[in-house]
Amino acid sequence: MNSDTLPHILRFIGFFLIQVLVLQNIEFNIGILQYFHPMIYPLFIIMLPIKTPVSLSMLWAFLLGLCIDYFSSSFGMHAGAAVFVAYCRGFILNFMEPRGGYNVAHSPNAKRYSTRWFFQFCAVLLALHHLFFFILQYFAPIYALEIILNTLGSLLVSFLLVVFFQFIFDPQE
Amino acid sequence: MRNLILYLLRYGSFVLFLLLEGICISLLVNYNESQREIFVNSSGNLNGKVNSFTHRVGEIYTAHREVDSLSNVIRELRTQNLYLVSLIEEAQLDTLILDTFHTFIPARVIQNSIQKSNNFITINKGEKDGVKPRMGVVADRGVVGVVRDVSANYATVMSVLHRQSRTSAKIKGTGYFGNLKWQGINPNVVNLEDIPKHVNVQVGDTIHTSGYSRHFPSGIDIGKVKEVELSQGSNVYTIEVSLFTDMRDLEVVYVMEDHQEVELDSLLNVGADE
Repeated sequence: MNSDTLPHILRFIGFFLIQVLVLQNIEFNIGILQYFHPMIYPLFIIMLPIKTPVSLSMLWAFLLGLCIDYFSSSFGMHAGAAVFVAYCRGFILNFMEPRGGYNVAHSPNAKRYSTRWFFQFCAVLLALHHLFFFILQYFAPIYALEIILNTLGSLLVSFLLVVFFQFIFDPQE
Repeated sequence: MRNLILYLLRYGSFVLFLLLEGICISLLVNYNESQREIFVNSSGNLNGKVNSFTHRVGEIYTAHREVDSLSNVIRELRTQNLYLVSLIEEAQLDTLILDTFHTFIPARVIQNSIQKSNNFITINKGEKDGVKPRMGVVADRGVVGVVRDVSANYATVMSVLHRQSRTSAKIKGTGYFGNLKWQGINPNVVNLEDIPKHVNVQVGDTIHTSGYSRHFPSGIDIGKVKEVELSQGSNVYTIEVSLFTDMRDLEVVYVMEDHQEVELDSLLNVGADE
């Protein structure tokens, strides 16, 4: 284990614990708050090194999603959404490539590229993740309205969490 | 094989993506109650749709054979139907007895006319079947005419739409009677003559045979009063009667055989001799 992979391992475990121990237990049943389901763990996938092959990031995402699913008795939902976002990450990276190109050995973060670029990147991937997650959760087109409302509400709180994480922990790698 | 490996190398991530998502969805469907129900229901629906579609495709292939067998069945049924119709006609010969003095001989109209001023009808029953001249002919409802000439198998009927046809008729409910006469224009309308002007005749009154002529017994419906007219200085009405029978649409008619004919003839002859 070298110093390159250590931050990722730590993020894997950290996000897993935060998600399972804290975020999964936040449950509002009143008004607009019922649509807020904060999720932090997609940030692990977002922040994998840019050079990581898509297949490998999908396997990592699958593992992380499965772990979260296991402790929240929602088999397949988090794993499916995580694999989906890992697969999409490659295309989004190509699509949003900044003028200077990437430093492929590093992970994308707010410091290395512009803050604006990074948060746009996060917002797109989080939106894809949440949309796919709630599609899997509701699983029928008749719930389209619930899927959209949950996606928008959760996207808001998850995005705030991601911003919070970036500024508080200020990850270099 | 080499191509397969190349393919996997190029599109491996997509294949892996599909594989992982497949695992996720199978987990989702197998371990989560609500998703399982939705999955089972919708796959049941899909199954039903696919099945009914394949069923319909199969139907198209078997349709030709079915049409063939059905047309065979129809042909057989038509033959049977013709036979049964003839049986029914024979049976009516026995059952359709209006009174004890008359029997009905069913006959099919094989020639008919209405446009001329003197119209005749030809029927497919003749001397062999007991049809004789001067017998009355009726349809299901209403008078048709009187037999004039008879051959072995056919007979001609002088229709009521003949200018020399005179049928004795009564207004239902009264004793007053007159003669029916066709004016030679409208095949639905005949005129009733000789009803005196003090009789109360209303439009819609039923006209039936009087029984005074030898051709028809009393009480066979003819038609309804359509118009009542009293010309100035006349003592009798001119009454237009619309016929119950549509003379343009005759198929089966009945010849009325009178069993009392001989007796009545001899009685009248005795009266004439004295």
